[in-house]
Amino acid sequence: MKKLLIFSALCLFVVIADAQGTFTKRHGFRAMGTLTPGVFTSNASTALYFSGNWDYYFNEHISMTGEGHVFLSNLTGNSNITSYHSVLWGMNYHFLENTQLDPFIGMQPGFGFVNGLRIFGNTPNAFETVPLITFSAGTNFYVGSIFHFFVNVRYLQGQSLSATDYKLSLSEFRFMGGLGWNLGVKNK
Amino acid sequence: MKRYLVFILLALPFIGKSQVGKPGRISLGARSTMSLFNHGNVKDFGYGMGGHFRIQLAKRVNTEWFADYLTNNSGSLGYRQDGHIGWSVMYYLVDPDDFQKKFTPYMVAGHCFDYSRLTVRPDGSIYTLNAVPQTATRWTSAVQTGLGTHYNITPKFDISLAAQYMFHFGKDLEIEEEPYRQIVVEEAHKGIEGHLLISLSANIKLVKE
Repeated sequence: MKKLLIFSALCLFVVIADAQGTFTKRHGFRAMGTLTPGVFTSNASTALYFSGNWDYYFNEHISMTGEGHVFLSNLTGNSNITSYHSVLWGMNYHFLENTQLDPFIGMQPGFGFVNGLRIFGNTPNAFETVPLITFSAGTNFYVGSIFHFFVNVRYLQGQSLSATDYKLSLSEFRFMGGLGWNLGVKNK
Repeated sequence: MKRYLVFILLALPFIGKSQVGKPGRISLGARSTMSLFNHGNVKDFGYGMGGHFRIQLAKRVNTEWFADYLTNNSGSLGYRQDGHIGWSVMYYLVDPDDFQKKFTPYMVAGHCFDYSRLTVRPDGSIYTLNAVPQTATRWTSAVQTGLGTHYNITPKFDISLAAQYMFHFGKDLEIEEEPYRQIVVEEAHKGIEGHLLISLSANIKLVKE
């Protein structure tokens, strides 16, 4: 049933895309801000972030992208991490040209900034900069010259080695969705 | 210091030549790196992130100028942070044909400088004597060589996967266990040690359309 609903929604998007004319993304810019839940795969703990990202489209298919996640809180588990901000930068490949629907995949390496609690040693709080490997997939849906909707799933892989007393996997999925701004993506 | 100057001087003609090259020969990339077999240890793998730009010098010769930051475990006793900054020459094994083909395999070899910081992780069993993490740093020089391929999604945009073995020359840092504590020591003799680097990058050629 769930699959059927998702398939129907995607079909509907394509129909609307056809009905609403064409969009040009080339040299356009989009940006968004949203709340992002994250799920760590190692222990199923969850966290909440305030996130923002942008894309600059070199052409209809390729964009440069940057993303930032500000840690807001641990929802469940991971009580020894007190904060975990991250900054990412990379490229996205967009599959379709001149359409409202804009599905994409991308890779964005980045840094995580982790604050943790320690019991051993003489420093109860420790800060660590962690390299992150991340991949994302999602779609934008342009509804006019000002706004677009978006959904995005991101997988992050990294490891904290010194912020807590033990090595900690930072393997995580983050889910984003909402309304974004068009700054130069135009309805033809 | 003299060695750094020599490398900078050697690099200048390449940079100069690239500026008169035809458009499309400069690329910008973001990359993720995995470091395997650190000091021969299979379990201690590390993650890294970085960036590079490429300056293509000839039809089959490209250069890559990179910087990476990597972290990895050093056994159960500590952790290591590395910074790599360097350059590589890439030779395309087949005619790249303006990157119209999907795959462009290449050989790669180059040189880099490595800043390494090794820290002992405080251990609960002996923390009273080992309360302050011991840390040591070093600079070494390294060479790297390997194979890679571009996957050209479009002629101007590629995903590149490369595997390179990096040999470090210089005194290595190790964690040694002493009674009731661990310390970081610099090996007495210079030697060669290395690790395998696997990098995945997304690259765009900066071409005016």
